[in-house]
Amino acid sequence: MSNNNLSQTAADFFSENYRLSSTIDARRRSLGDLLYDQTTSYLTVEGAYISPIDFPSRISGNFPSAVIVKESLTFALTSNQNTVFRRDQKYGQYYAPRLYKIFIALPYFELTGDLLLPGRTTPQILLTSKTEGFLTLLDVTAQVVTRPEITYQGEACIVCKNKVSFVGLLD
Amino acid sequence: MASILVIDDNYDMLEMLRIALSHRGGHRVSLCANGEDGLKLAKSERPDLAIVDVMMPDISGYEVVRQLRSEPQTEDMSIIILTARGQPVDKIAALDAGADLYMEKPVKPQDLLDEIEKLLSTPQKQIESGLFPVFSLRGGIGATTLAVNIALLFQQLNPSALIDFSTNSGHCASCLRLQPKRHWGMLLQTGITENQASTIGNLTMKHPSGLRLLAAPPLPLPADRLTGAHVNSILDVMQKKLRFLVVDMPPALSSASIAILEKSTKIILISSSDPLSIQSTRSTMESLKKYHDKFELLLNNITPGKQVSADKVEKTLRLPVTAQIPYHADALPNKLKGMPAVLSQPQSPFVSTLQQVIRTLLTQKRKTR
Repeated sequence: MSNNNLSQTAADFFSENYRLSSTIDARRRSLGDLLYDQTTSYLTVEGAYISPIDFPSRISGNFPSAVIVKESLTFALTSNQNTVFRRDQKYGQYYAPRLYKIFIALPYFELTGDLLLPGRTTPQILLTSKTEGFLTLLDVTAQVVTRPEITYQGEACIVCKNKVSFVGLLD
Repeated sequence: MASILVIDDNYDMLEMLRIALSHRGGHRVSLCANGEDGLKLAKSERPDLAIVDVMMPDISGYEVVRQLRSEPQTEDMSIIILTARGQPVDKIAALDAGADLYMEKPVKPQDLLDEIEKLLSTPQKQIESGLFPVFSLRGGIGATTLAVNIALLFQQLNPSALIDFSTNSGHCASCLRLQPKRHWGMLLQTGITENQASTIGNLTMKHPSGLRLLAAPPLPLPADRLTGAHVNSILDVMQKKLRFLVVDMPPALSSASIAILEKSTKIILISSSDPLSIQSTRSTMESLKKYHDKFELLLNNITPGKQVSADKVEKTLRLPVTAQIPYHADALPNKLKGMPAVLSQPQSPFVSTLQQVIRTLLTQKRKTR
């Protein structure tokens, strides 16, 4: 994959049927900043390679650039935690963050990972009263529901809240 | 030092790998920025190893690896897939496509060099026993001389036998200075008895080198006297007793020939570089398409002077030349004296090329997963 710019971040974006491997030119912003940004519904990525979720060795298309519709995205996975935190998640939190081990049911996927929340926020509060469109998970394993032998793993993941059907707290 | 081909559409990555592999690793490196050109370069240069990226615009790295594995010229090449796609499924996909190793980007140059070293020093699986017919539909191009010398080289490794299945009074016995008092023609007269093992065993002669010879009848026979059933019985018995069997085949596609080819481990196809011989080899290959994967083509230079290049022969036959056998001026005197080159001139280029052929014959061809 072409990657001539050092500010580019590699990530896998998952919709219900496809996986899109690409890079984003995040400049001084993180993937979290870009996805959580409610002023835009789209995310432009570069060097996009698309594969069917249940047929990972087939690259069905590649494009120099592609546009992702944020609300249609199921989740985005990266191998670098630093690229998923928003600026306010990285700096200046008054309460120490806590990790909650959770299970999330998504269309075609089951996700397990750690939900990182500021001290007084619980997963229930996050899901019911926060207006943000996404959740950030760490140390994630995503399993394809119909093909459990196919798993995707990443250090961090951003999940679209609208796509979540069930959340289980494992701790 | 190994020759390494890198196929990656990222120019920074190509440059980084060139520096790491050539400056630090001391390898000879060829670079290619897309899959199509990479495949062409792999076929023409035949590097020892290829490093292939997955996400490339024209054809994916998986497809490049599949095509490398499906081409006879590149099927045995060591291949590393080096990709930014770092999921467990990507590793499975890479190995399923036929790669030997999967590595994730970013990679430390030293880690890559260590893996290359390991991969290139891993011996390929060796064949421990087998049947190797030496075959050409055109006579007079040195097939018998090659069969005798190849059999003697096998004998130096393990107990082996040479079977002369020629129906036109074969010459293997005289090449080894043996009198064909016993031969497989006697089986046809008496019939193959229940006690096949001792019958056939008693018909072989032992050369001073230890090589067993099952000679051809001294007088010509109608080609159809030797049937596939006879051949199968003889080979079954001899394969139980000896590790390697080399067969000097009759230059005809009889039922006996087909039975031999059917049982063969690899088929040593002989061609000389003259147009008639190449044409004959081509028609042989056409008739024996189903055995294509077993062919090892030896281009035998039977005349001195400039020869047609192996590349041209490969293009015409669409089959890689396993070895080009150098002209051996003493081939005929050796034959007349009954002293094959392996015994009389073991240091000659002719014999060292045949030793290389033996190594190739003993290496299992890689199959695409």
